[in-house]
Amino acid sequence: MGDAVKYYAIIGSGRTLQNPSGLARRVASDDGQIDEALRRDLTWQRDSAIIEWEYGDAGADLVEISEADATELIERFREKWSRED
Amino acid sequence: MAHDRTADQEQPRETDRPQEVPPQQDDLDARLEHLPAGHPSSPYRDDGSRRPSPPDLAEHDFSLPGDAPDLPPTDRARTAPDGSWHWKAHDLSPAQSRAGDQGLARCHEREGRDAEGNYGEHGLTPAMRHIEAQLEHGHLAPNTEQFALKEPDRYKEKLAKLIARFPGESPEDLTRLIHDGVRYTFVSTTEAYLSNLGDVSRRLQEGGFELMARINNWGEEEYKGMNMRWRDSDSDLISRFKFTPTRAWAPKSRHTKRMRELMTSEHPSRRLRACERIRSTSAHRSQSHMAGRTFLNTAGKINDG
Repeated sequence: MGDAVKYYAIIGSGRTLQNPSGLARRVASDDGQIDEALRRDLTWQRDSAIIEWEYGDAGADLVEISEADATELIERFREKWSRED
Repeated sequence: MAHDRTADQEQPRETDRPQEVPPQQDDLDARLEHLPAGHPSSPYRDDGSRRPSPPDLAEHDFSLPGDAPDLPPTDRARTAPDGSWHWKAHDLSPAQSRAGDQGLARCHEREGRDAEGNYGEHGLTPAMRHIEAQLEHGHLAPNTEQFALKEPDRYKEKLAKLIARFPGESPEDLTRLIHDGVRYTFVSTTEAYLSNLGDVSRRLQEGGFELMARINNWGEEEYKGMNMRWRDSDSDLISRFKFTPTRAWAPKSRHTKRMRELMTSEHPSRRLRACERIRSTSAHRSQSHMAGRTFLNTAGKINDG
């Protein structure tokens, strides 16, 4: 089975899909699914945002986006955070 | 052998104290040490490096009667002289920790108890007790006052996670994403569940609360109930409300905690188990749970489904 990745824009209070707060992904592989979120250092780290959202405890909404949109979002985060740091 | 270990770890851990690990667990751990590196249950990866320890079940805050933390001093949160806060793998800078303190203060102020822990006429908990007194069916969960406020270090732990998850947001803004700083659970018999849910919701609206979100978990096989977020118009504070049949409320919290632990585990076998559970309930989730999600859209209207 090949790897498959689903990406989710994390939309916090006052945010929109065009201006999300963060990015999460669910990676499906032969080893099972792994949930991760993008950190400020642009690394992916284990995170329970997706499962919390699925169970109604996330405190934010998640919207599935395409890989291309996720790539574009990562680039926007890279530019934004590099300006702020 | 690995299956036995997995099954054993399925049970909720009451404490993190090493001395309370049953002897047979120690024996299993010793045997797992001898599994080939890279084996799903081996504590070692393919390259021989050691996998991280299993996630701490106490990491997630789902306080339940009888689950009060009793951690040894080495496991407790620490505030450094400079005001920074540290607990397990989580850290807050002095400014971030202050933001957490301010968020906690908002919750304390609105929840209603004074410095001595006494309640007067004002505050959310007295308001909830007032609503409870008028209910024909249902009541607040046992020990409501004990669990109405999120424990401070759990609150800061959640803030630390949100800061990592939302790198571009200010910690002050992120405290407003912590919707269970104040939380209440209403329970009833299964037969009275709907009428109790409607009754409490109506009384909350009459009391000036605004519904922000609701998540219907009634279609779940492992637990049933409704999660809601209501905003108190007086303070703008959003609180979490759970409505559930009496027999389902504790299992729901434990189930959610366990699923989080499994999905973020370093151990493939545990993630696989979580995947299997999610798949087994995916039909329910897509048809009832997800369809039952209700959030306010940006225009302030309520969208169902």
